[in-house]
Amino acid sequence: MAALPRRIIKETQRLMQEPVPGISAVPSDTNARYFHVIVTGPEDSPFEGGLFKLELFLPEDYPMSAPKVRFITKIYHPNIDRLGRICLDILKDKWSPALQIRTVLLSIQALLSAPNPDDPLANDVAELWKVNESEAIRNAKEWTRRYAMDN
Amino acid sequence: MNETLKSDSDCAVCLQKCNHPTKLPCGHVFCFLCVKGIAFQSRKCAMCRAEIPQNYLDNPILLESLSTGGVNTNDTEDIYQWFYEGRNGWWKYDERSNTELETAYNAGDPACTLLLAGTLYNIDFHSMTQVRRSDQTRRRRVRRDTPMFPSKGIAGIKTYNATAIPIQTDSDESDEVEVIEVDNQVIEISDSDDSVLMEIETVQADVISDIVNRISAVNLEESTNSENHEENLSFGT
Repeated sequence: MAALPRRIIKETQRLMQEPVPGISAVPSDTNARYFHVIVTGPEDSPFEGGLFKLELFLPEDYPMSAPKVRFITKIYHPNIDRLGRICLDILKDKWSPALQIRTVLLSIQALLSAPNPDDPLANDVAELWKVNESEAIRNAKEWTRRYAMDN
Repeated sequence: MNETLKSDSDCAVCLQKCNHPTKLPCGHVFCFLCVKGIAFQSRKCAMCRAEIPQNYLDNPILLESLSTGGVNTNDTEDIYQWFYEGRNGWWKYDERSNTELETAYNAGDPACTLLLAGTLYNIDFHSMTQVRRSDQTRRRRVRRDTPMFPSKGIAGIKTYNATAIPIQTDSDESDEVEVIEVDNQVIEISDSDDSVLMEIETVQADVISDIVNRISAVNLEESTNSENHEENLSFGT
């Protein structure tokens, strides 16, 4: 396997030594560019109490291009679609090589606290979030209980 | 946070000590090769997203003279320098890559993978070629030689007299990188060989002449031939 750039080694070490509260990111045994991620649902959000699994992959030209991140756990959120794809500017055109795995995951956690239905990825969810927020939040809590709490 | 980063702090792109610290117009400092990477990729500063001028790499602001740093100036016999071929001559690999290449070579590895300016390259020690992993037609010859072997400069940073005189070095034997005081004393080196532009307010005269001596031996201009990090070489043997 190709040698791992020192930056990735450093980031991985730091993630292990100084983990971010509420976030765990562990590299796969077989591919050091593939991380198993768990993000806890933020307090005072409909996702509170949930443990959300994600996968994160560092492409060959990382950090010149952004990590690929996807939710594996189903989640009811206007900026996350059925396939777990995330609509977040820093994962796309606002990526900067000074961002890191930890900052990306913190931003995703922040997105759970602050859904943005005006920039939707899941249109039906975003629509409900706009016209009937309380029902949307009820759905999000229900999905969290059903999919993010059973283990 | 301090807007103007010290040149001896870690580079935010590679997370290592800044190698040939290079200052963008917005004031943020990165390794020269990291700047090269972001200039090709997004043309925006990695810290503040300020646009990087189109021709910035023709005229980068380097905060240290080329004479600093370990392997490239050390002429002891047991230290080897790796070179890659450019148009009309050879470039030294930067110090960090050189160490990685030497380590892999001495360990008997068949090849070594390097991340250079944000792009992955394989250096094959049998064929002595460097190949871009994402585009195998992009290849160059490489060589392992003494540091005195004539070169155009380091990693795309040109030295003034490419083939004859090695850059003037300090008699100081330490490998410590020598830092020219950064604040308000940025040394800008233009693309014309003779002009040396400096914004200097507080340096004493002897320091200035010392700097001028060293700078005049250096030409940091990257002309059109090295706008791309490599050139197409044919596969033919």
